[in-house]
Amino acid sequence: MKAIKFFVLAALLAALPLAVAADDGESTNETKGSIEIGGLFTDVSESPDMAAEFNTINEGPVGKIKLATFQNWGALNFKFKYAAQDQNSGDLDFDIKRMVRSHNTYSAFPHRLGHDPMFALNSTSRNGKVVRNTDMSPNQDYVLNYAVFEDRTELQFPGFRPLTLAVEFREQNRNGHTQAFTTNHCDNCHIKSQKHRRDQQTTDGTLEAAVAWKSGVVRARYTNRKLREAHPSVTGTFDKNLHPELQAPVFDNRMQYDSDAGVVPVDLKPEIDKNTTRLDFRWASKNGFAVTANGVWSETKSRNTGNKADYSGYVVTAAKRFGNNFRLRWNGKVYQTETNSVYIEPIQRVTPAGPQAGTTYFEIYGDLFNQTRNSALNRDGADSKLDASYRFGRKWGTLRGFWNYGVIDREYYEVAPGEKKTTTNVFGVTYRVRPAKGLRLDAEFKHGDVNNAFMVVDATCSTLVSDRYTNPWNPETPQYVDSHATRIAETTATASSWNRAVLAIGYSFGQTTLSGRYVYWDGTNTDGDLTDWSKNRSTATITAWSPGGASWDWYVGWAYQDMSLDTPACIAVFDG
Amino acid sequence: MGGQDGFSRDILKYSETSNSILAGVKVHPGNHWDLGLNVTYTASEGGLDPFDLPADDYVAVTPPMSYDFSKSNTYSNIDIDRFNFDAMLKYKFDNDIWLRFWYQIADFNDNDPYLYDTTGMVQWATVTAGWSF
Repeated sequence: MKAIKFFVLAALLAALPLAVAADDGESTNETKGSIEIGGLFTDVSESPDMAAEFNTINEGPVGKIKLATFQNWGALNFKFKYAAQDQNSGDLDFDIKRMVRSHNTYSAFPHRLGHDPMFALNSTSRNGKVVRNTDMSPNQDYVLNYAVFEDRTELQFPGFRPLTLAVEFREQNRNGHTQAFTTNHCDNCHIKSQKHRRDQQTTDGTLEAAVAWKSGVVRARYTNRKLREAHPSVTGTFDKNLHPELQAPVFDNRMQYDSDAGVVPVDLKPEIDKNTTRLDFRWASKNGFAVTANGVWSETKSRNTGNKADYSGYVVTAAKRFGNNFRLRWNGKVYQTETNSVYIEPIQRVTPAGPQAGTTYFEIYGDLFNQTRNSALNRDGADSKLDASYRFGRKWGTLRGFWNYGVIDREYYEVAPGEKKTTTNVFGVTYRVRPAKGLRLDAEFKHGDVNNAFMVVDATCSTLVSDRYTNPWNPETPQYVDSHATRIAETTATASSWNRAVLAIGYSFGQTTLSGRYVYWDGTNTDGDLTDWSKNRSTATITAWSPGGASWDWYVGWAYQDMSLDTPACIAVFDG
Repeated sequence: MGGQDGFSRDILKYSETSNSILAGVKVHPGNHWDLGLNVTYTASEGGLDPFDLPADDYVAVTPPMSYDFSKSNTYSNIDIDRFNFDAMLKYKFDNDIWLRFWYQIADFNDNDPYLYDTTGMVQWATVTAGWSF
């Protein structure tokens, strides 16, 4: 990051003498602006969490300043609006002889997260087992103050106009408190929450170089991102593991933590480093053929665990016009993601009392679990998008058809029994026409068909029928792993077949414009065992607006949405 | 776990509906006055149909394991409405100096609270004086 700041400063210093030297002798001198100051008064009744989820509720002075100046050396445009300490925004644009061009924005506002009183987690079973909670920060407001600064500065040198150098800098801060939850088991279930002070900073620095010529451009970018937490965790002490009725430590060997571990870090937030390199190429010929290509390579690394995720992707787009009416376009993409596997070392506690005293879980039941976790994101992917359009003329409109094909070949994750590959085909047609003056009609229909849509294999509906054991320490008692191993149903939230239809109309008369749009989507997935998922959604909007005249304008609108979802629920019938 | 007797299954049917209306007008009745009004109202409802997860055979021999799901579908109900209104009145003493009054109200009603009642109303009012050069 220091290197990027040094580069920006050095480039600006190098460009300024060139900018001054390029003075063309013409005199420009104009400055204008405005200042507005006053006060903000607020009134809050009951909770502001939703009524002002992203707005300040603070009172105090407010101000707005605008300044624009156009001089021989260039131009500057500055705007800043202050509503409160937690809500303000500004822009600063300047250029120096069109050789240094800079665009900067800043925005800050609060985000109210709400304080969960955890009442929904309280319950009592018939035999007196209780789920309870403790709120250790009952009066804390959970708010994150969001602030982001973005800069893009371009440098273009008089001696070599085809070359543009650019630097980008983005800094996002999220400061405030979030609610940190910990779950304790098993002296009844006990949910604790406490405030977690957050000072999170995400910084992006980008260097870019582009060379342009009459028919094309080549651009290279490198971005370095750092996500940092000033307070990555809070601390907590777990409850003593006790049987809820016996109040004795008789099954510690099923737990990872106990009060004897003392104070431990909880609610850990990861810190991340990410480097991204991108190359772009664009070229257009005089006969209507154009091609673009780009490649992206990135590496994301967790500073806490050292886990790494790599991505590489390549995109090519080619388009060609045939005559005045026919157009063909193809876009292809291949990509690969790879995240390292991790082994999670279980904490094998020894039960201090009861029938299993002095033993660990593995010593009694064996090492039943595979503790190696492979990434579901590891995959090779490819997408192809082909579309062709024909323009019948001004009156009869344009017809467009397209076919999108995609394949995801996963390394580890099965999305259907024995299947790691998902193939998607989407076919569609659109028609756009202006049948009469002021009238515009758009219609679109798409059909999607997915082979092995994303599902969780054998996720629920455990078929295990066991004997019943009055003594839970009997080693023959079935364990959760036995229940999991006999699940038969695939769950999903993804359609394997869907249709989407859009109808839009626009009509202008006089100074008034009416527009309406209706979208219908319907999808199902019954591909897996006991997978019986379906969803449909309708949205409609109607708006009317008129610039009226010099003395007034108006608008009115209505938006409607309706959604229904069917999805199966399955629970294992446990005794105890 | 003392034992298991298979599983129980039912289809959950969830639906939600949302309606919004919005309108606004800006009026410039003369060289000195600007007036702007905007209003939006949104009402949304969502929820599950009643469902059951019966385990009749098991409950017949294990009565304490009977559970009542008759209210479970209501726990995640959504029933909210929101009213927003803002008004701006600007008076220009001349082309360069003006006085502006701005008022906004956001009234949110949580008619079926989930984690907690998020009902609330916030009002903002701003009075400013401006000068352009």
